Amino acid sequence: MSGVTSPPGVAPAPPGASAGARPRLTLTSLSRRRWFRRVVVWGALVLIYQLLAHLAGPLYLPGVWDVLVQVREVLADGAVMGDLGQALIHLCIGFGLAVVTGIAIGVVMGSSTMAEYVIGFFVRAMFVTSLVAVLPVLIILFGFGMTFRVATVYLFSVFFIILSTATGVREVDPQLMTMGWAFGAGRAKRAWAIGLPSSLPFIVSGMRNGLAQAFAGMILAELWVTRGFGLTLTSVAANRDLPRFFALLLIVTVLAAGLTALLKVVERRLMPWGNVSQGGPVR
Amino acid sequence: MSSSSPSPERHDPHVEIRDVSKWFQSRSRKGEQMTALDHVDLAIGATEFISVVGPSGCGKSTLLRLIDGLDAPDAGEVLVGGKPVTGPGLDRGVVFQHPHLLPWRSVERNVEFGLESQGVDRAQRKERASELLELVGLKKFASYYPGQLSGGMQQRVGLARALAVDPKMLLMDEPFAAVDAQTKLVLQEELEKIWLQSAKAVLFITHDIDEAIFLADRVIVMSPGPGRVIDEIVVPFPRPRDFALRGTPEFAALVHRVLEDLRGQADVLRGTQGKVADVQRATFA
Repeated sequence: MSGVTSPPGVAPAPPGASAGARPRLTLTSLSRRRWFRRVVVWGALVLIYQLLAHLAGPLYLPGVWDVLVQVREVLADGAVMGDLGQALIHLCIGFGLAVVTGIAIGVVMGSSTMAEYVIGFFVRAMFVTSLVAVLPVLIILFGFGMTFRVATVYLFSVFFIILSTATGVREVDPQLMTMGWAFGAGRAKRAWAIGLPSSLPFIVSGMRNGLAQAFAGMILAELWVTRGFGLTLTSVAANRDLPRFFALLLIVTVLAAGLTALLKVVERRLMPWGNVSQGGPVR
Repeated sequence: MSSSSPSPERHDPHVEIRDVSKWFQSRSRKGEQMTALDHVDLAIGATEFISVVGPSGCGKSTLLRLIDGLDAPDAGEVLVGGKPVTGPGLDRGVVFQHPHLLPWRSVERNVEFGLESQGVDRAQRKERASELLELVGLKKFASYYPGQLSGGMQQRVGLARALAVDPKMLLMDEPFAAVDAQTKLVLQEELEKIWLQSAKAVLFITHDIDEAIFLADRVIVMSPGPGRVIDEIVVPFPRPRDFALRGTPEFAALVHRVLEDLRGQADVLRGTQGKVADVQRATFA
C-alpha cells in the first residue's frame, strides 16, 4: 500500500514565499512571469499603434492618449452609458434565453438520433447562414424595439450553444453509462447524474462562444435600426470623431472580454474536478 | 466438462447458466456471426469464489455481462437466485477493468452511487460509504476526486462502490489487470479477506493464471473461437491463503495444468489440429 499515505503531486511552495533570500529580479527571471510577458507584448502593440497613428495622422487613426481622454468622457456621459446599459439588458435577456433553450434543444439533439435527424438539419443550416441577412425579416416581424434586439442577440448566440451541447451529450463515455445502468440508475438518473456533468465543459465552451456572438448581435442590431448605442456609434462616425469612436469600441470590447472572463470563473467553480491534477483534498 | 463433479455448493447454486450460447455480428466481415459462447453450463454456489481464465475472445467477459443482465443470451438461460435475469440489478455488484468512476464526484460520492438508486437517504449513504472506504483502506481520501488517486486506489473505490449496495454476488471483470504487480498482490489478499467476511458469490474474470488459482475455489478455463469451457479445476487450498502458497509445488501443479489447457488451445488456434491437446486432455481427464 505504498504511496497511499501521501497525496499524489503535492504542489510545491510558490517561489519566494518562504523566508530567506528572495531570488533577484533579473531579466531572465522576469521573462518567465506571465504578467511581465503581457506587459511587454501589450506595451509593444500600443507602441506600434501609436507609431502608426502618428504616421497616418489624426484624420485616419487617433492617438492613444486622445482615445483614453475620450474613454473618460464617455464613461462620464450619462446618456451614452444609459444607452449602453439598455443594450446590455437586451444582451442579458437574449443570451439568457439562448442559454436556456439552447441547452434544452442541444440535449434533445445529442441524445436522440431522430431529433438530430429532424432538428439538426435546421440548426446547422442556420449556423452557416449569414444571420445579418435575416435581420430585415426580424425588423418586419418585431419592429425596431426591444423585441427585435433581443431576438437578434438570441439568434446570434443560440446555435453555438445548441451544437456544443449536442456534441457534449453525444461524447458522453458509453462505459460510464453502462456503469450507471449496472448500478441501477434509470434513464433519467443517468442523464442527470452522468450525461449532464460530463457534457458541462462542452456546454460552457458553447456559452463562451455564444456570448461573444451575442455582443456582435447586440451592436449589429442597434446599428441596423440606428437607435440607442448604435445611433451614438453611427453619428460619432459620421462626424468623424475618431477618438470618441475608438473609445466607444474599446469600452464594448472590455465589457465583452470581462463577461467572457466571468464565464471562465463560473466554469472553474462548476467544474472543480477539471483542475485537480495536482493534489489536495476537495473543499 | 463434467457437470457431475461433486462440489458442496452445487446443491443450492446462486447462479445457474444452462446451455447458454451467444452470437455477435462479426465486425470485420459483415453478415458473418461469431460465436462468443457455445453451449456453456456453469453453476456458482451462494458463497463460492469462481475464477474464469482464458485468452481474449474466449467469451469470459460476455459471460459476466450475461449474468449482470447487460446482455441477453441467444440460446439457453441464465438464472440468478432461481429467477431468469432480465436486466442489471443491485443484487449483483460489478467491478470493471477500468474503475469507471465519475470524475466530478468525490470518492465518497462515487461509492454512494448505487445506494442512490436504492433510495437510501443521505445520512445513511454517507455512513455506509465511510464504512466501505474504511474496509478498502481509503478512509482518508473520502473527499478526494478520482483524478487525484492512483490506479490501484481508484480500483479500490470501484470495489467499495460495488460492495456498498451489499450485493449477493460480485462480478469482477479483470479488475486488477490495469494495476501494477505489487499493488495487485495487495489487492488480491484484501479481496480474499473482504470476501471471507462477507459470504458472497464471486465471479472473477482474469487472464492471470496465478491470480485465478490464488483467489478461487474453482477455476474455469475457457477457450476461444467458439467460447467454451474446456476445463474446471477445484482449488483445494485452505483459507485464508498466504503469499507463501504461490511457492508450493501443489500451486505450481495447478498453474501448470491451466497452462497446458491453454497451450493445447493455442495449438488448435495455430491449426495443428489438437493432437497434442487431445493427448493432454486424456492425461488430465
